[in-house]
Amino acid sequence: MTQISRRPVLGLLAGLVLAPKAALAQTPLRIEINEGVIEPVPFAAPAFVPENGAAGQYADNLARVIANNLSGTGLLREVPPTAHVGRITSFDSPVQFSDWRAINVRALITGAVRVSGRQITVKFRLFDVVTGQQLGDGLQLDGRTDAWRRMAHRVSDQVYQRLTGETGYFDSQVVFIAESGPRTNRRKQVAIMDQDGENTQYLTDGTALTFAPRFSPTGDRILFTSYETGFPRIYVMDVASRRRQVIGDQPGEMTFAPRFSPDGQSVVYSLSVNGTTDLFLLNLSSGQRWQLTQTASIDTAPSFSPDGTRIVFESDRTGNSQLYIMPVSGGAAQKISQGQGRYSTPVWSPRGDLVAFTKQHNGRFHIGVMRTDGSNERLLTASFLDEGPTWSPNGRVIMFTREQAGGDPSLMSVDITGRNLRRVRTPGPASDPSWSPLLP
Amino acid sequence: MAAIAHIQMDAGQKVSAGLHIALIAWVMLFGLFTAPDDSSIPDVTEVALISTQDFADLMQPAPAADPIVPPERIAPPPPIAPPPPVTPPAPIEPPAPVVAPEPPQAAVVAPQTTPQSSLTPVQRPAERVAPQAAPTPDPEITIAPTDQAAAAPDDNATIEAPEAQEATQRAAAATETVTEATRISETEPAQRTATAPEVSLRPRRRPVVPQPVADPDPAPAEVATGPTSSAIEDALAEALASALDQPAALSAADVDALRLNIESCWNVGILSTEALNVVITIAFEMTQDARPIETTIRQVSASGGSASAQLAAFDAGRQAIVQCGTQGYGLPQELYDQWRLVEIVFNPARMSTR
Repeated sequence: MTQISRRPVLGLLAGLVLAPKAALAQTPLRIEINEGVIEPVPFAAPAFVPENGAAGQYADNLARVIANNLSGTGLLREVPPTAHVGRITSFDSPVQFSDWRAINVRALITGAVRVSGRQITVKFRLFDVVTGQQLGDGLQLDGRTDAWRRMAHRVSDQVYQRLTGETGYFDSQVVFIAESGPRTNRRKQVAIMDQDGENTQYLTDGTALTFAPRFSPTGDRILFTSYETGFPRIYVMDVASRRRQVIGDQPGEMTFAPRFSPDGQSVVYSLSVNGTTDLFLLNLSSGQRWQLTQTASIDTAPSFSPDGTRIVFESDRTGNSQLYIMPVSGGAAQKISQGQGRYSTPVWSPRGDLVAFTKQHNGRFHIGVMRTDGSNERLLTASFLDEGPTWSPNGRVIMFTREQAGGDPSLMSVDITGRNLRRVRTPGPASDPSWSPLLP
Repeated sequence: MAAIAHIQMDAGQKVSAGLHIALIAWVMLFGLFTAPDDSSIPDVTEVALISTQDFADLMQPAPAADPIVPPERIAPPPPIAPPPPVTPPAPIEPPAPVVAPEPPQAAVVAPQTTPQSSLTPVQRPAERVAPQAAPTPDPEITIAPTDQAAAAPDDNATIEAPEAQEATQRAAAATETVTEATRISETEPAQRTATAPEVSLRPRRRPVVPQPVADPDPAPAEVATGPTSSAIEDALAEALASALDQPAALSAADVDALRLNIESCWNVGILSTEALNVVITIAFEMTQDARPIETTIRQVSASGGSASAQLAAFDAGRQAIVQCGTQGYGLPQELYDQWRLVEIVFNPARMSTR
């Protein structure tokens, strides 16, 4: 009888002691990590493997373009080929990850290229060297040999997307004003180039002053303002054919600061008559136009929200230049800029969450970003003259014009975090950049 | 007549009863009320309509960018033979502490402050942003996730020398992103930078309070056993005693060290703003020497962001776990059961504002 009653007691006691221990052994140790580091990820892009003799000239060039694109983001840092220990001699051979770990590489891009006549085939893979795993699928791209740079940009976009989780921006172009000649007699031409500064072409001959070129949402047309007749007028140009025509022109009116709507069917612009400047919306198909603002002030630099429902613009209606948002149909405008100084040239982010702007305060110009309600304003740059921001297609990078005292204007780019401020390569002095969408 | 009627009613009742029984039997045996067998009727499901053009497009060959077969996995390199055992080192008397001479009063010179300048430390731009600032490293030295002293095997040494390793140092780090705008506005006037210290003068980390060392040979707990105790009771008592011998739990300092270790390798700089909104939980197992087993690393859950953003967030977490665990996380081996399985919640919300 004693034995029967003691066993449950012992069992219960043992259970009480052992149960927490067993639970500890089976429950994972759970910790939360809120702090990390922000630093460029080291990567390697060894020369692609030429799969036939004709591919030899492209093998290294492809890798160099890709490496330059990725390094240019500031998010990645290339470990140069001179430091490589391992060699990629065959695209399908296993990768000796230890060779790449030894030089602290974390992402490795391998590729191969084959040329048949005027056709080029590029294939690549991306590896996580730390874990020794391939990231995503390898891809193969086919095209013409004269489009090899675009193929390198596309590979860069794929790698960027896999590493960051957002689309890339390398297969895109920038239209800008190329400047030349003495300051008293400046020649200004509309020019177009790849986002990395290659393949510059001039779209106007420079006989008339041109400024503020803007890409259409499909990248096939450009708006710009020209003094061809001695009076500022807005032109729309087809990029492929270079054909152009005047839009929204009325005798005695100055039209400028145009920008396409997200569907490409309409253009919003400023029209100046009798000392007041208001915003107008023009339907390109029907030619019908609507007046969006009607104030005694200067309303200009309009930019659509990505969904096409609202417009952000600058206005001096309260005394000095500030930023406002109004519905696309016009009506009451809400002031969003809240800090001190003068705000101008607002541009809505392709993601829709931020507005980039130029700010003048305390004798300096800044490029900054704020939320669309005006909160969380962050200034990214500071110099003698920074102005005219334009967004990369993925909304990660801002390009703008910088001019130093007495110097020539140049194009600069900066990450929206404020890191990685760098000069964009152009053939000469340049201003007024506008970034295209990703090319089709 | 009444009798005849009675007889006739009995017969009617019998007939009725018989017919009822027959009906019930028929219902039960032949399933009058069961649903008809419709197995021969085909199932009807809703389908999406597709146009002739869409169908023709679907039948076209794959686009130019065809996925290609991933490479074969390579076999891991053969394990490196451990070094032969060596005699444990004899204890060496610590050197006598050096008493610092009292500085003469006259030698104390107050630092010359610059008027119109602030002594507030100014953030210097650095390529790396980390929870703790790090000074600019020696330009000759290799940059690595952790600081590491150089070491080389010494044949004459009586102590076990680690494998030859190169000295490494962390890259210079600021605690937040320093944009051109903040840099220029804060460095006015220029003397401000000159007087600012390179890094914070405060202690980098609160010293860890040493944990009480568990008694290596504690007295076994007394367990009452009766003279008639059975084998089951003995086993239970033994288990109970051994359970009481175990240290209580993993210390907060150990957990903190693990967290700090992984933090130092969690690089979120590559992540998109969308991926910086992903809170991801990653689980993995560790070996007894506290190294993560790569094949066990898996995503438990993720919230926020698109699928590609979550994928990028997972890659960053996995890299942090593997990269900082190559030398082992240095957790107490006797508590292996408590840290064999680990779940880490990576929440980058704070990092998105740096």
